[in-house]
Amino acid sequence: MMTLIHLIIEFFKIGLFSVGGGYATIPFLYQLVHEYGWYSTGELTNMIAISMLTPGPVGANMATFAGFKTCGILGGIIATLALVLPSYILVLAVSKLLKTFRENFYVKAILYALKPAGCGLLASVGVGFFRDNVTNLPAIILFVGLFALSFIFKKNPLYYILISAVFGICMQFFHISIL
Amino acid sequence: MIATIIDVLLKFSYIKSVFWGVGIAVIILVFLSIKEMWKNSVKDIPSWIIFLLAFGLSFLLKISPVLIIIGAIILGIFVKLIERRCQK
Repeated sequence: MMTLIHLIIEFFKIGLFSVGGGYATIPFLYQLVHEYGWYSTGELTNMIAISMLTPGPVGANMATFAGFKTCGILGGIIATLALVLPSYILVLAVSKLLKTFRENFYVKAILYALKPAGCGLLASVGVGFFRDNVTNLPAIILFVGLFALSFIFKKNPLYYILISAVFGICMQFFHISIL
Repeated sequence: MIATIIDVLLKFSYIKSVFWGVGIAVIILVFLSIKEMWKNSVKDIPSWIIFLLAFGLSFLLKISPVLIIIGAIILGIFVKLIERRCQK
């Protein structure tokens, strides 16, 4: 029961403070790894990958997955609702006063600061993921290869995920230690 | 439903390897998102400072993202107030 209450509080906070799309939820989910240990860093990267491949917003998919990992089906439903609720309330409120808000000095100042802050938070998670996952030679090779390919494929996640999945299968097939 | 299936599938070594690879792909995708966000957000010295503070406080001091976001909002208002005062 306590875990469910924590789940509601944490995902409500994520919904309230993660501004800037689905990726903005990642730093908050990463913090939960250290704070509660509900899932590991490896499981979080799996969650992100699955959320990218499944239909719907990445943030909501990740909340469902994280909630499920923590408290089963009920956790998945509660985490998703708690994540969506703040933005639902805010959008309802803001849509009524859109014109006033758009030109408001303080709203502009807040948005100006939120973007680089969100970018900094995501950068910290990116470096953390790199430190935790790129720990052996095959991982370094795959990382460098994908980085080079990112100049060709630009940003279609499907290519990266497919290539890395095939690379993983090859490593297993040739009995090269990766885990 | 997918979460349940994944939990079961992760017991197989080949599936584990697939997810190991996908984990690396996710890191690349996170870095690409950072690059995109960077282009639209880090444009001047104050935004550089906010970026570095958010990164440093989160990565080195493991401060809660909620506190960092609240701090950034205060800093943003402070910066814009100073800019407005300088313009006058």
